[in-house]
Amino acid sequence: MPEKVCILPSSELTTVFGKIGRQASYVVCEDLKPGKIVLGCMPALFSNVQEDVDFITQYPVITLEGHSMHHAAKLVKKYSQVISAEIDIKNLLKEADIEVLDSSPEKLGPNGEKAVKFLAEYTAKVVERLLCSRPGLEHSNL
Amino acid sequence: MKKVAIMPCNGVGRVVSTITRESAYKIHALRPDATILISSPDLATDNPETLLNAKKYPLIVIDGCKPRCGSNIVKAKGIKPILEIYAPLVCANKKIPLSGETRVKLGLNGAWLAEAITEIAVQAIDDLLSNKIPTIQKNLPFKIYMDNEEILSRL
Repeated sequence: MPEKVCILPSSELTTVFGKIGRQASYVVCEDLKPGKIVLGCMPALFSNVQEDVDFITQYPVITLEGHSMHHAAKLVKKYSQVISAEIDIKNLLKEADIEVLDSSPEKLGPNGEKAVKFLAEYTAKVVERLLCSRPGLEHSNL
Repeated sequence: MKKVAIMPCNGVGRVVSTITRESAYKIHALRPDATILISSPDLATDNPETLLNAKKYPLIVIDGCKPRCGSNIVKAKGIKPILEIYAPLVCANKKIPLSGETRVKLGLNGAWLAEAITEIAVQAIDDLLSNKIPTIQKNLPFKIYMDNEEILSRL
């Protein structure tokens, strides 16, 4: 079973979903699954910062995508790494019927905060499944 | 309308990443018609629109920590920035303590550093749009590339 899981938020600057993904990743890392998460940084990964490369090669990876082009997954695939879960934030919130019209990339309103909480809890459940999976099976059925 | 592009490193791991991001938003709020924000993950993964804008406009990069990922990304895309602002240098120059600041939400000192970076960038933007060499060159050891004719032609 993996000791930790890597969460890689796409962290777009200009979409509200980038902000929601980033804030949710902090909640999972610091509050919901402390000690069980490593937080990957896209610009650092692009720059071959060894710590971030190690994160995606040593642990199962969850990407939180704030843009329809799925930038985080795209970057992980450049390193020929498998992604255990690729979460499209916009679609997930749509399915959950959470609208974030009160929020912007700079500032979250009450609905944006609700979206962060929902995404963080959803991601934490995925993390839990990955932490309980047997080696080699962590990429299945997610 | 002349514009300048702003790209913070926009990382997630450190408090300085949050500060660079906050600075970019403040810069854009102060000069909304004269600036365009560039998202580093978009540029890193070749979003065509982002790539076009980063090449079309003079670009100011705000780096948060030592690997200088923002500058690395633009260089890897063959783009020469007009100005690189390195947040730790501003922090040291202004003697702003960051202990106790968190990446989730900035406190007073984090906001102070974001404001200091914003002031530098806005001054540079105003100078650039007036076709002047940014005056910050005289005061701080930032990398500045105003001698490049190709960059000047983008103004």
